[in-house]
Amino acid sequence: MVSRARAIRLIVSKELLDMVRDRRTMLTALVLPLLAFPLLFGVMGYLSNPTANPSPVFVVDLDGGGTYSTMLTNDLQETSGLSLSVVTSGNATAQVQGGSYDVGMVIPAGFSSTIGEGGQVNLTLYYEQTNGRALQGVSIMDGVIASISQQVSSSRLSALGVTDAELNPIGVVASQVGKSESASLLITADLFPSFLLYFTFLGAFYFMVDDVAGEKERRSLEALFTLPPTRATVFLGKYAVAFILAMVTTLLGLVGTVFSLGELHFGGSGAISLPPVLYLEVVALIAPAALSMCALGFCVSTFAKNTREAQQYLSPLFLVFFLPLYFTFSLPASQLSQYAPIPIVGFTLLIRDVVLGTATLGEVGAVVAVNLAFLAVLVWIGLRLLSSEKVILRSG
Amino acid sequence: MTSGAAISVRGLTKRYGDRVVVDDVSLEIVTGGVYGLLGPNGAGKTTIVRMLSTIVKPTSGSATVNGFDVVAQPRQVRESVGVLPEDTGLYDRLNPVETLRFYGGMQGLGGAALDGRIEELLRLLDLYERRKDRVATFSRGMRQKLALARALIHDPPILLLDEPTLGLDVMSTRAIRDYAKEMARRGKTVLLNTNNMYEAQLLCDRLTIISNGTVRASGTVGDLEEIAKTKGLEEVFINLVRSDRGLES
Repeated sequence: MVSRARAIRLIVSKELLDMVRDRRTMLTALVLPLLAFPLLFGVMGYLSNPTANPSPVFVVDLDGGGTYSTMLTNDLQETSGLSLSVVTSGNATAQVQGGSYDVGMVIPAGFSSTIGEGGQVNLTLYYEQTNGRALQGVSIMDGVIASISQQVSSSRLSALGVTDAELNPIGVVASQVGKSESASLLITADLFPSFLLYFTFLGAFYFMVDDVAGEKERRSLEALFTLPPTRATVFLGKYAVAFILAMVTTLLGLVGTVFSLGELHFGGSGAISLPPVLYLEVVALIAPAALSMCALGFCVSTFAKNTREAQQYLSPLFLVFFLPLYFTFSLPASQLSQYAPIPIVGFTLLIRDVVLGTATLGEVGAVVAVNLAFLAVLVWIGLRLLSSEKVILRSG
Repeated sequence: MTSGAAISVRGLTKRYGDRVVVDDVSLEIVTGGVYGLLGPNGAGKTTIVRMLSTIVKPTSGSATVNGFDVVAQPRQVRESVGVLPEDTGLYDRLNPVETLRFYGGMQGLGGAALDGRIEELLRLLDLYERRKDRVATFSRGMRQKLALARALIHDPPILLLDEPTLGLDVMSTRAIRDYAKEMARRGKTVLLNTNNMYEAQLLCDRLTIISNGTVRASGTVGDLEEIAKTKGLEEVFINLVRSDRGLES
């Protein structure tokens, strides 16, 4: 008589062998997660890093080397995030429309003399609204121009005997309370959990689709159920395979993350480096989430008539992993804990807090407890479905 | 265990909602030999095999296989039978050795004994040369032979064969039939589900004709000819099931 442990080992070995020979599963479970995070964070990091990806600016200086035009172009050239080309004649609008430059600017003749004489000159910036990098470039240029304008204004007022305090009686100082984090870390904390859980699910997805539904489709379930091990043993064996795949995908996703986070420079802030222990904490938290996901996938696959139906039922679940982004982007951290009992949302918020270093033991306990209850219900449903003749013989 | 009975069925009934698929069927199949369940498509033959192999539970009635109750002792029943379902249900990405190693392992076999049994069966069923090829590349006949090897891997005393030669070419059909006869000669009990009259007449020592889930008649071919008052199994069959099929003149 075969023991339950040996039967589970046999099912796991058979399923893994079968899976290793399935290119589609290998691609989604192993290759995709390894490449996804470096690609995702690498591309995002490059695009969001103004030093690595500065906005090209075309400046036509018709002022002929005047004091203020020289000050302006020098300041723009020294500002990070802009790559300046200064010429004395040319068509700025055409250069932008042609796509060679993000932003075009013309410094009109008499710019320096007009400002020197106390007058005002309007500078027009030409850009395409659909170009995100151009918007970033315009924002940077706006800041540089405003700074020079402020300097000129101060010196003019000073000459008239007006002080800064008289001109700006009320000042504003923004002071943040709580932990201070870089923009890179905050954005990573918001995006990372959703993507990681997505890949955890993706890793086991094709196996779960094929799991029981595939056995029904191939008519191999009947042969499996004529063997001595119980259906609960078959459940455990197949469930173990889905969990292994989910965790392997998660680990590969984390490996990809380690290599790609260094490329992130959101909003000009420095690259981030997460401590190794944090990755272990994330793995420990993903494990119970993966158990629930795999149990859910097993229930769906058991209920479905065939792999196509299983895929139709399981595919919409991918959207669930991005639902928590609504919470993380729109709610303050102090209010997030009340959403912890919602499955998936709770884990997303918890992993976010772990990345930010603000997770509490109570939060961990609440999320894990809710997940375990969710898991118990799913396992019960899965076993009930596997015992149901109507469900098992349902195929087509 | 009923004396001398490999399979004993008493008032077996299976309902799916209001639909009665098997209705009060009783059978006594003695150890050794080939016993045929002959019936048209949808007669309930496959459901009887599914109940005897513990895939589905009877709604009422009882059945013992090798002396074990199909409801109370399902594990012992599953250890006693080798099942060849109507669809082979093999794993395309495995080869024959991997397939048989999996099913043999699940029956509690292992090591050199299992390897030896695998080689013996593959040679016997003419699959040894293709032992390293994936099942996906196999013809229907080869698949059926491999499924038969799967059913035999643990050398069970009882074989349940559900339409084993359906859709097979002549050579594969002959091989499967020869093997069924060989099993019977070795003292095993073979329950053969079929709607092929020639096959039933050729292989079966005794037969039960079943239609619309109920037993029409049981016995040897001679017994059945007497009951139906006609000659030839095909005529017997038509006489006995015609009222169910709307053929009554």
